[in-house]
Parts: sequence; C-alpha cells; structure tokens
Amino acid sequence: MTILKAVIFNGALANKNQQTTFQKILEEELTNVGMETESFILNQIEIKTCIGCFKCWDTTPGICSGVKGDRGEEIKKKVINSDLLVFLTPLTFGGYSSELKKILERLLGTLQPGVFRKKGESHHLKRYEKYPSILAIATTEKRDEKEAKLFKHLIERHSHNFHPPKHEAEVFLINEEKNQFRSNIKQLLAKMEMSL
Amino acid sequence: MSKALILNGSPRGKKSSSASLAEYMKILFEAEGIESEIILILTQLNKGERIKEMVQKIKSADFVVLFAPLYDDCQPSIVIKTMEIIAEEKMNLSNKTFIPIINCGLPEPEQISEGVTPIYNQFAITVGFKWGGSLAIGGGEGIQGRFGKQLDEIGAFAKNAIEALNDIVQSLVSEIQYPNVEIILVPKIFYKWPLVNLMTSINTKSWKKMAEKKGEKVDAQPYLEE
Repeated sequence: MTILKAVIFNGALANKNQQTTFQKILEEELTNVGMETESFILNQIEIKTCIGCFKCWDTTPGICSGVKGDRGEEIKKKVINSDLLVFLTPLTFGGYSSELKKILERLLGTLQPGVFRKKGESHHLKRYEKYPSILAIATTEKRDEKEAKLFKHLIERHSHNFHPPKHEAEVFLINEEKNQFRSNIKQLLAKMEMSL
Repeated sequence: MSKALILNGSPRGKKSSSASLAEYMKILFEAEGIESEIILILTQLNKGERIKEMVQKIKSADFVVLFAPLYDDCQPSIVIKTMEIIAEEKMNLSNKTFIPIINCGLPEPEQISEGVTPIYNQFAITVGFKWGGSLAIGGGEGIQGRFGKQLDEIGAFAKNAIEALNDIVQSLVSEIQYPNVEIILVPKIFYKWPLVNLMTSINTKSWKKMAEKKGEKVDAQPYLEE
C-alpha cells in the first residue's frame, strides 16, 4: 500500500504566535486520514531567500545552485515527493508571511522554464508529472473579509503556476476554538479527498 | 523641499530591472528639485542597525516609491519582510505617499495588477500610507537590468516605462492622484494570435538552448523518488 505524504510549512514569524496549536491539529488530522506528515517551522530553519539567478532553470535544471549552505534543497525534495503541501501562515496584508514566502520562492526549480498559454495568460511549464495538492491555512487576529478574499485569490493564482491537482484556502482566527478548527480541517481534507 | 525614498526590493540587487527603473526615477525626481535616495532592501535587511536606518529614512521621506519584481504571484520574501517591519513600527505615515512599481518577466501586467497590487494596497491601508497609485510592468525582464543596463540605454523597448515614470513624478509634483496603471514593454501584437504562438515557442526553445550550452537537459527531473 502506498502511503500518502504531507508536508506542512509553518510560516510563523520568529517573535510572534507560533501557530503551534493549529500545526498540531493539522498533524493529527493528516495522520488520521493515513498520511505520513512532516512539519517545518520555517523561522527555526536556515533557508536563504531566492536571488533570482535562474540557475535552477538554465545551469543545473531543477536544482538550486545559486544559493548554498542551507536546507532549501532538502525541503524542495520532500515537496516534490509529497501528495499534499500545507501552508500555515499568518495572514499578511492578504498574502503570505515572509517566512513562508522564502521557501516558496525556492521552489521555482520545480517548474520548467518556457511558457504555455492558458486563458490569455502565460505560465511556466511543468517539470514533473505530478505535484502536491495545496491546503493553505492563514491565521489572523482580526477577521477582515477583504484580506481573506485576497488570500484565496492568491492561492488561486499560485495554483495556476504550480499545478496542484487540488487546492483549498481558508482563513481562521488565531484564537479560533480548537474543536471548531479541527472540524473545519476534517471537512477540508474530506473535500480534497485526502485519504486512500 | 520634498524628499523621495526609493526602495529597490529586487533580490538581484543592483543588477535588476528594478534597479534600472529606480535609477531613472531618481534622475526624474532630481530634475524636479526633489531630493531622492535609492536604498537596497536586500542589503538593508542584513543587520539590525541597517533596518533601523531604513525605518528612519522612511520616517523622513514624503514619497516612498517601491520597485520590486513579481515572484510567484506576489512580493519577494525580502519585500514582505520589509512590510512586516514597517507594520511593526506603527509609525505615523499619513502624510507619506506610497507607490509600488512592480515588474514581471511574463508579458501580462495583469499577473501583477490582479494578484499583488491589491496586497500592496492593503498594506498601505493597514500601515496608514497614502496610496499614490501603482504601476504594473509586464515583460520587465526585457529591461536587461540583470546585465547592468540602464533604462535609457536600451532604446525603444523602454519607451512605455520611461513615459510612465515621468507621469508618476509629475503626478507627485502637482499633487494629482496617479491611477493604477498597467503597461507592457513588448508591443501587444506579439501577444496576439498568430504571433503569440511563435513568441511562446521562441521563449521555450531559448531556455532549452541555454541549458544545452551548459551540457544540461532543461527538462531534467532531479530528486524524484520511486
């Protein structure tokens, strides 16, 4: 039996709420549906930001050789071989936190340079046949419908470029009641048919 | 006298399309008697004292113009970090005008204006900046700032960008609200049928050639586990 794999990116900022409760519930619920889960608390890991050199496209295709001495490549390998990638990020003006974004931009090499056209827009080519689905969870101290809408739209656009078979995005209050969060996560995973 | 702070948010630093655009903007500001300075976010974030210095410069500016590329549908991580720092400072920014000028490698400026421009706008609202409009530049990779070229050195290709930067400076000087503008550097005809198919194919083939020149396969699939 194949075991499905999930990777969680916790994009909490170093001096802020670490989203630990949500991370734990996500881990538990993913285990419950039979997934093997690995979490990365990004602010505790050495990951350098992308320098825009395109070496992962034209010099060492698929491999970042422009940035050295961090764990970016190791994490990218896990992503490529996973079935579900979970973003857990503080909602930052409707977008990702800097911690989450620094690893996301290091995943450029999972795409192939060159473009195809879809609905009048250019997008990059697939490097791999299969990409993980994306479950994007943003946490916020104060509910703001406009920011929630921006976040969902961002995940929609990200999905045009990173080819997840399925994607879902949801925003939660950071002090959301635990059982409520858990039940919402169960529903999202069921909707994404994330079990064997 | 008004002061402009130009933030270069490109992870490529001084060799970037953002840098070429920023340098040109500085010239335009100075021609209007506006004191202006460019700072590189990339190096500014290196040390605590440099972060403080950046915050101080924002405090003393009237106009804050941010140049940055589009990375995966949003801001580069270093720009988000800067936005987080500004929000954390809780400064009074109500008398400062903020304008993001964003370029992307792909030709369509909508990739910027539909995704990241509203995020920059939400940032401005949250921290209290006055929104001064925005500029989305499609096909910005063609500016060749990566090879150190300046905007006025690359000929007709930069014409639309030069015009737009002029308009922005004029709007700021005469206190007229600049709108949210989209421009494309490659003539639109290249992105309509039938030329679009040719352009797409040239782009894809040129990457393949570049990899082959280095003895590599552009479609390699490293890291796959069976």
